Amino acid sequence: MELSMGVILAIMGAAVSMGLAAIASGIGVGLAGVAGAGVISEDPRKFGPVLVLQALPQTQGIYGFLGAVLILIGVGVLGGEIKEIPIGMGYAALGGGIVVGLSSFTAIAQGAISASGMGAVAKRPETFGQAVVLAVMAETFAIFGLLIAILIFVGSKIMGG
Amino acid sequence: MIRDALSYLYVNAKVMAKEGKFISPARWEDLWGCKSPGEIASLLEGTDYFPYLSERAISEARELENAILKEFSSLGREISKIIPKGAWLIKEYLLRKWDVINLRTVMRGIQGGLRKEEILDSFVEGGELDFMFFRALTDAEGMDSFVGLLAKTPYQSLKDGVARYHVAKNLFFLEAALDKILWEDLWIKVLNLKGMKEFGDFIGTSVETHNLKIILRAKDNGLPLEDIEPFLIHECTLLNELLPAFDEEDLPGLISLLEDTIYLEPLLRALAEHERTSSILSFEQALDNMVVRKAEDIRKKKPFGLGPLIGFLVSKEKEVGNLLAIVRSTEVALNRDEIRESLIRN
Repeated sequence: MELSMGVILAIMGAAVSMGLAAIASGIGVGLAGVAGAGVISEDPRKFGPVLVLQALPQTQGIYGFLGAVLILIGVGVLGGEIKEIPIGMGYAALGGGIVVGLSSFTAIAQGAISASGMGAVAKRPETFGQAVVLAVMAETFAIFGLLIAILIFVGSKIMGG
Repeated sequence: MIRDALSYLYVNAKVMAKEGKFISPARWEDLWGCKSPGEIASLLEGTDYFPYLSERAISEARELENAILKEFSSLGREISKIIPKGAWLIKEYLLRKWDVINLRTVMRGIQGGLRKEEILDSFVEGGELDFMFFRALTDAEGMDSFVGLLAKTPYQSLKDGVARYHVAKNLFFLEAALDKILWEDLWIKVLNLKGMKEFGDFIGTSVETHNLKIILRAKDNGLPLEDIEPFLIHECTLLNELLPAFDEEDLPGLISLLEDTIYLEPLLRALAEHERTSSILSFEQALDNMVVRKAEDIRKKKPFGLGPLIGFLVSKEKEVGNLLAIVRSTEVALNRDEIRESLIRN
């Protein structure tokens, strides 16, 4: 079966969405994980708060996954027959994928904030709530990225078309 | 930024977790009121010091001091194993500091006429000089022999202080020579290193406070400049103003020359205290507090790199110093307020 250019571009969009998000989330979780290991090696009872803070940069990976799945469903690669889609729609899917992928790089900053937050929580456990709020701030931009991608998918009829 | 963050993340998180186990302000309040090593030992339960306390530490202040120093030394070794390779100079600082502490113990032992076993009991592992070398040092018959044994070590220039030690019959010159070896060597190395600006700032402040302590003590004791010059670290801009005026100015005059530096105000406050008590310790405490404050500034300015580590090392030293002051106070029966006055604050 030969894929049309539009479908190939859409698949590239899905790949970019998931691939970039995986890299960014991986780095973010890695940064937080290194700091978490430092805290736990000193005080294993802090595993709970450390785990919550380490999990935060993972969400960008989930957004990347979601963006990729929406594209793949939209063009029929998942859950049905592959549709014939115009090249313009393919570019729109690629654009959506790039938005999600790039906005996922907030996970790196979030990982750094989480790592610092772990240090703060280790020093003063009562700061856990504030540490989570600070880390979640970086998430906002990833959510905006995902929303814009969804708007692109809806507007270009990749979703709901 | 990411590279900086990555290389220091583990160690910074670990030291911040260790700071979480520092003695709390409420417990300090209780410690200030302690009258015996046993009371202090019981208040150290749950802290990192507790596993190092032996039965003897409950009844003997000296044993309790040793236990506290052993915890501090063990912490230094732990930190030196995990600091990034690029921060090798901090590792050297941690090792050399213990050499200086142990050498000072021997010098004080020789000066005080302690038995070899008593000096050996105070040895704390942690530096580059091992126990066998330390044992050999305790065989020294006197200060000349002790300094002679240090030939071919980084401390061989301690001999510069021996002649003056024999004249003055106190350890000031030898201790100043020892501190000079430590800080000057680190200062020269850090000036030639790239990427350790914060540590350089910290060492720079330590060099300045080293020089100021010697200058103020010498002025207070009425010593001439030529007596202290060999113990000053000359790569220090503060000396440009102070040295030419040293012989003419009195103590307040010398301090007023520090206008436009961070040292003026704390030293003026210390001067008022000095006029009241005639003790040079007020200046030394003010200068020690400046080092602590500098480390805190570095911690705030560089939260992802060296900052937390430098802040932690200085805070820990402050905690240990204050704890030792409390333990020692039980031997001389100081009251609560006198102990509080002697502590390092920030």
